[in-house]
Order: sequence, then C-alpha cells, then structure tokens
Amino acid sequence: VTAASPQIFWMASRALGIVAVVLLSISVSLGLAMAGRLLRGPGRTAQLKRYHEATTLVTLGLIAAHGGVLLLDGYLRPRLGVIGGWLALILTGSFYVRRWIGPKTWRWLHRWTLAVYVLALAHVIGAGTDGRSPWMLALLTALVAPNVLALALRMLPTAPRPARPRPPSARPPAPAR
Amino acid sequence: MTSPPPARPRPGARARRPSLPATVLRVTSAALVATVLVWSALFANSLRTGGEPAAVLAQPFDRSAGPDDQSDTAPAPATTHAS
Repeated sequence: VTAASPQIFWMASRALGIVAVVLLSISVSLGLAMAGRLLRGPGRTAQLKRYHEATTLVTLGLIAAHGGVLLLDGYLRPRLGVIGGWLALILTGSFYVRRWIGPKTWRWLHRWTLAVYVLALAHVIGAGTDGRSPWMLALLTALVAPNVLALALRMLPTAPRPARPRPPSARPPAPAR
Repeated sequence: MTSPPPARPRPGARARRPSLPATVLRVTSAALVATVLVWSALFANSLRTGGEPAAVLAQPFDRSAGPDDQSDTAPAPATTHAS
C-alpha cells in the first residue's frame, strides 16, 4: 500500500457516490413517471418498470461499493449515508417480498423511498467532499428539479375518470318484483 | 445454386424486449464507465491542485498530531467531515 492509496480509495468512493446519487435520481424519476403515467405508449410501462428496477439494483451496488471503499480507506462513520443505504436496501427488498407482505403494505413502504432520497441528498450536501461545490449543487438541482415537478404533478388532484359503459351482458337485470 | 434469402421479420412481429438481467448488465456497464470518468476527473483535479484537499481529507481524525508536536512540515489539521 503506497502513500497515494488512501487518496485513490477516497476518490474512488467519491466517484461511486456521485454516480450512485445520479442513478438514484434517475431511478426515482422513472418510478414517478411510471406511477404518474407520464409516458404513455404500448409497452412503455413495462419498459419503465424494467429500467426502474435495474437502476435501483445498480444504485444499491454502487452504494455498497461507495461504503466498502471507505472501509478500505479506513474511514467510515455511521451517519446519514449508512442509515440511508440500509433503508434503501430494505425498501428495495420489500419489492421482492410483496407477495408475503401484501400490495398495500408494500405501497406504503415504497412511499418512504422519497424519504431515503432526501436522506441521500442531505448526505451528499452535508457530508460529501464535493457536496457544496457549485458543480455538485448544479448537478443536484438538475437531478432533483424533474422529480419535484413529477411529484407535484402526481399530488395534484386529478379529474375523475369517466365511468366505462357496462356491457349489456355483464350483469343480468334484476328480476322485477 | 443460390442460397436462400435471409429470413425477414414479419411486419407485424414485435421486437423482443431485453430481459431484466440484460438491462441490469447494461446499466451496470454505463455506471462503471461513468465512475471511471468521474474518478479520472477527480484525480486530474487533485493533481492540478497539488492533491492537498484530498490528502487532508483522507487523513483519519486521530492521526493529526497535537499543536506541540507539529513541525514545519506537518500537514494542516484535518477539517471535520463525515461519511
């Protein structure tokens, strides 16, 4: 191990963390786009779901590598980053056990993803070496703005959908008394 | 004899969608390339600036000597940072 090794690990951890927060933002964007039906078209939802799942899984790997490299550097303090990482793992895992926990519980748990996202952003700004540099703040703004917009669109009250006309053979008419 | 012409996809046939593992692989490769690029940029920046900020931040807290032990060549005391 040379004297430059800590710097190399430190920079590797920073690089992994930066890519992880970018990918996490993309994953949140895809999830919001899917939930809000922002992109329509044949097969679009399935495509969004696949990319949402893939980006989430890769983000988890990057978070693990980000923390693991810090361990190699001999420096890791369990704070927001570690808490957020574990929460992200639990929330992602809940998708694969939703058959057992039920869709209602899973949906409730999945809403906490946004809290994890906020934790991750707080970790980047508060603890990241580059967290308060102008380029990082510009990058975070560019990543977060579409998500805030998509979330606002999702929270807006939507017009009720027109009821589908029932096919005449769907339910037999009640017998006249 | 001439070889038969290659089979053309039917006009109405759907393109086969990539599976989840294939998508994960694709995203992983993109993320790794991005990581290497970011790492290179950080490394180049540290070389440009003499590596001082990174060197200071890379020091564990307890390694910094007390005020009495500092010599002229000792590094500046580490600023607090958290992971």
